[in-house]
Amino acid sequence: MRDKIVLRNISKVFTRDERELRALIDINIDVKEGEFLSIVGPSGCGKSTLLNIIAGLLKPTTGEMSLDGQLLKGVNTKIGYITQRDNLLPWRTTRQNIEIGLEIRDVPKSERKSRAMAIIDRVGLAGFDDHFPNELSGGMRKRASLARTLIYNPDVLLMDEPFSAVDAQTRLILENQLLELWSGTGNTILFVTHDLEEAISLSDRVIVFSARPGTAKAVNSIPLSRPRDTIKIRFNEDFIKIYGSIWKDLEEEVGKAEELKTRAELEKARKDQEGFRTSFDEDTGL
Amino acid sequence: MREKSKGIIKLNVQRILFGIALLLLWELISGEPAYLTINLKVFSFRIPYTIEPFWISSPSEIVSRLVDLTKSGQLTFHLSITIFEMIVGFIIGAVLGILAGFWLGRKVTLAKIVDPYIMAVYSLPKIALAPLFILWFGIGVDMKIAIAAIIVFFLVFYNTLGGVRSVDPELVDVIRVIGANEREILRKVVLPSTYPWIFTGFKLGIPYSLIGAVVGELIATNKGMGYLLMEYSGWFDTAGVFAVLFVLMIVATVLNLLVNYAEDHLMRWRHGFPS
Repeated sequence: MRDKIVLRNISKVFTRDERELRALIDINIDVKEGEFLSIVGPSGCGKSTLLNIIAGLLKPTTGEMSLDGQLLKGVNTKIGYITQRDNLLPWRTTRQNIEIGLEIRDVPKSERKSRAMAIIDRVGLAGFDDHFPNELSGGMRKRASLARTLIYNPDVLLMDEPFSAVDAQTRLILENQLLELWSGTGNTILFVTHDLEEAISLSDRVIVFSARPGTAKAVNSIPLSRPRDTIKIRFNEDFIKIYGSIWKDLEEEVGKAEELKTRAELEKARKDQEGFRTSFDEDTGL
Repeated sequence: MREKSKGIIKLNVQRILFGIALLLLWELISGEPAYLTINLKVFSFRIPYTIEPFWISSPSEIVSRLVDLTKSGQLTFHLSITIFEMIVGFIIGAVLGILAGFWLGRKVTLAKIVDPYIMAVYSLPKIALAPLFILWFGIGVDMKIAIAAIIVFFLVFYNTLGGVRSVDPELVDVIRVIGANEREILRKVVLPSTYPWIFTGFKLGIPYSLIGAVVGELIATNKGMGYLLMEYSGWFDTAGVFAVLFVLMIVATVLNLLVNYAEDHLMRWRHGFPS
């Protein structure tokens, strides 16, 4: 299969107060066209940073990347980006939120509406098109944010822990819904999560990231047949075997990440005691 | 639902009764000196139970003054001038406040440089600028407009600035990835995020614009509700003073109701689930 996204030697170093924080080191990943690829890793391993880099919202310190063989520079508007927070515009109704991509692409009003209503139906939000985000449940907002991205048909979807904020039951339903919406489209999905079960049940391949500085530690193929039911598949023997083997890699990294966290907390406590606080005066500056 | 509307009716009846009771009490205690004499065996004392109308007038007097004012057309004349000053002052202050807020909100460095200066002018009691405005604009309507405008300006300016600065950068990023250019981001994300802030500025600014106009009229008078107040006060006409105050109170209350109504309808998205 053709490579959709190619990442070469991507690394990212943040500099704050003359201190360097290495978030990503030497990332080399090829995302194949039409595949569902997940990245799992402990929290703080730079997964989100990587997605932000692919989306063009952050500049990598080194390395380059391409989409469909073309070098990527600046904000990447060819992809759909679904973030951890739903990021719906609170002053727009569900339908108006979903239509925004078409608005920006100057699609005429009547077509916008009919396409929005169709996708609202598909993601199971029928009857809620006129509600504001404030009036929707967490799962509904997630569906709305998915619909907002799907409506303009990006052939690559970046998803950053999209279901981490919803409760466990809703999450299982949303995962199945995602697979249904994706199957047959030929779209490429790069999915970031810290939940290994989620990663295995959804993906064709799972990449394990190391604790910070994040790097791709192991790539695993998931030879489970499709269509899948993300709930039932968890009782499948192969699933359990795959889980066991990937978990060994992941466990070690989670341990390291915990250690890093503890160390960072200790250092912070020490500094606070010395009455010295580092403050980050960030200008967002729009 | 029916229970709820019943409760509201009951509450409103209670409110009206309370108002009537207050007015009755006011009417009763207003009058020529009268005393309640209490005779105890050792000594006796007198408790006054009226207050001279010179001090507190009485509701009936005030109503008759209001009727006179309305019939003679004076009320319409002076009230329309005050409202005109207020509205024009409000619009000028609000428009300049929004523009300045947006402009400085996006110029981070410039904003940091000028911040202490703006703060210094803001800290000044705006009424203290009245003598300066008299020099600049004379004692006509312009000067009252200027006072109202500068008070409203700062309220709207600071709120708009706060709004522009608190735009969620993640929302901006998401819309940018969807393909929006800078102009679309400004129009579809930044501007609407600041609406609640600007609205708060308006909400504060509307009663203050009335204050600005009336205080301006009190300082250098030739017409308007402030002028009427000073006139009646000069004639020791307490009922007249109260009549003008009553009208101002009505105006302010109506404005508040309008603002609350507008807020309920324009900001529907801010209320959560109607549980």
